[in-house]
Amino acid sequence: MPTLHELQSRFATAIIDGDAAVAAGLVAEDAPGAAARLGIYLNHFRVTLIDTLAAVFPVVQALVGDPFFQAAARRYVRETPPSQPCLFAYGDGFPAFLERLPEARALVYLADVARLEWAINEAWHVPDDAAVAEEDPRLVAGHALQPGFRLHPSCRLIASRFPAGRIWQVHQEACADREAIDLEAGEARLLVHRRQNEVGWIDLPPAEFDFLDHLTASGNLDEALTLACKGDGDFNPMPLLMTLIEGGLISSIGAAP
Amino acid sequence: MGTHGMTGNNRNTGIGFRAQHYATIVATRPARGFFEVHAENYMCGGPASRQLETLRNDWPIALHGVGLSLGSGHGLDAAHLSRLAVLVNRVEPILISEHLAWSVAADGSYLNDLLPLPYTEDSLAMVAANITRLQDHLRQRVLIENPSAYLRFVDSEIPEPQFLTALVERTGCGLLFDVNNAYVTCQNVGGDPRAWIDGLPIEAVKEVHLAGHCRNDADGASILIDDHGSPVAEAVWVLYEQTIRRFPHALTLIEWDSNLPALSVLLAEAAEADRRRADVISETAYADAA
Repeated sequence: MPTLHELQSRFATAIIDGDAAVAAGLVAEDAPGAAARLGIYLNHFRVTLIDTLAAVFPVVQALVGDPFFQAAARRYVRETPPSQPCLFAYGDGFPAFLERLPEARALVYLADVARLEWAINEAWHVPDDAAVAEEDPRLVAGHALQPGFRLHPSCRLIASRFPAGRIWQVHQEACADREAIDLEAGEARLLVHRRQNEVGWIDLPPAEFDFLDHLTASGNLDEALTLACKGDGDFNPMPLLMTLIEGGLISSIGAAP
Repeated sequence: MGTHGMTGNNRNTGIGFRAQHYATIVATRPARGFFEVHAENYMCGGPASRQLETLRNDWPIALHGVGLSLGSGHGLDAAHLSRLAVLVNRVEPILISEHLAWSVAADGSYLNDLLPLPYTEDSLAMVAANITRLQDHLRQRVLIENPSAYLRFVDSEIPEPQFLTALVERTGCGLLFDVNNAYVTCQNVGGDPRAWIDGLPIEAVKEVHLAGHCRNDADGASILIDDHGSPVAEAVWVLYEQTIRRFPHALTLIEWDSNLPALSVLLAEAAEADRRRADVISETAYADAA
């Protein structure tokens, strides 16, 4: 008799690899037979996780069509099963997987659209956080941007060589304006965020994007300003910061005055 | 819990909460005893979490875990146990339940299902140890639910009701008796659900689940699938009446997860459960008086 651990190892392999034969010897041969009975579990694993990915990446699905999406998602599920039971966190590796997928290489913007959909999914699920009030006395010049600056946890910066935001928009039901998209029309630099129950994004100019990208990654204001000023000698971070504060998107501006 | 029960008798049948029904629930405030939510859907922040906060102001909440993998031969995942404990502290549920099943492989892969166990002494020792660790961590009694099974392991040697009873004796856990699961399992792998009901310890069963199933063909033979996607079958209603005769104090819950209909359909199923429950209880009271 196999130990529980051995039995579960074989069963898990059968499920992930989609191969009932690996576990068939463990199962009583009642009619219907062991392979058909195991098939119910194998199928449930595959179908429910493909559905999970489809719910998070509907625009990717629309871009590649359902048969292609099913096949790609099936391969992803097999290569990268969920690593924990909270399925809202499943699919973080799917954009990079699509980027590596030889069959999808022609759709050069696909992985970036997937990154945007993943950012939207994450923005939905992060916990709420405090927001700095517009009348916060620390907002006088010189006090903002002390060490400890933090955007709202829903904020995600997404950069693409392609108009990824526009591609996403024309695939929404509510979109009234569906003209063809010129892929050369411009890069996208988006700050995805959630306010209350709504997820959206702000289109940022290059200097503002670089500034926030560097500031959130390093926390170093001087370096972030230097970098942003390289692209735009007149760069002033205050209008951007006021927009973010008005939107409730800054959780901390650092040390108390 | 002082604010609970404003909207009705909390003995009333509860329903499984689905986010698609949220707006209708808040607008119409159905007089249901409680709502049950899948714990894993609320181990995050944002709108889902806010909905649950609103619900729990007016209704008791039962937490139903689906991902802890109490049947894992390699023990429990400490990170997931912590997530559950945080949620329990936040929600203050009236009941906490999990399944007699496993879903996490030894390498940590989550298999997104309630997978069956071989009912052996080895499994019994492992599951009992996992339940004890869970209850110690939460400092609460947890209800263990019988799963739906589509197969039987060659090495299974303990009948499921005896296995559950042994878990109660060893860990002090309670039981959640899913009538539909018992029916589905017995149809698929053999057994008499009426004997199962009579075999479970009366004091331990605190909650009863009802749901629909469907019938699939596999290899030319039919197999029942516990898809929670249709009304409760008449055969399951009949077993429910027997269940209430034996466990009259258990709370009842209607589950519906796939092909989700309007809230009114779930409310009608819950009203039917209330009606059958009331009939059984009054008939029992009459028999006691006579």
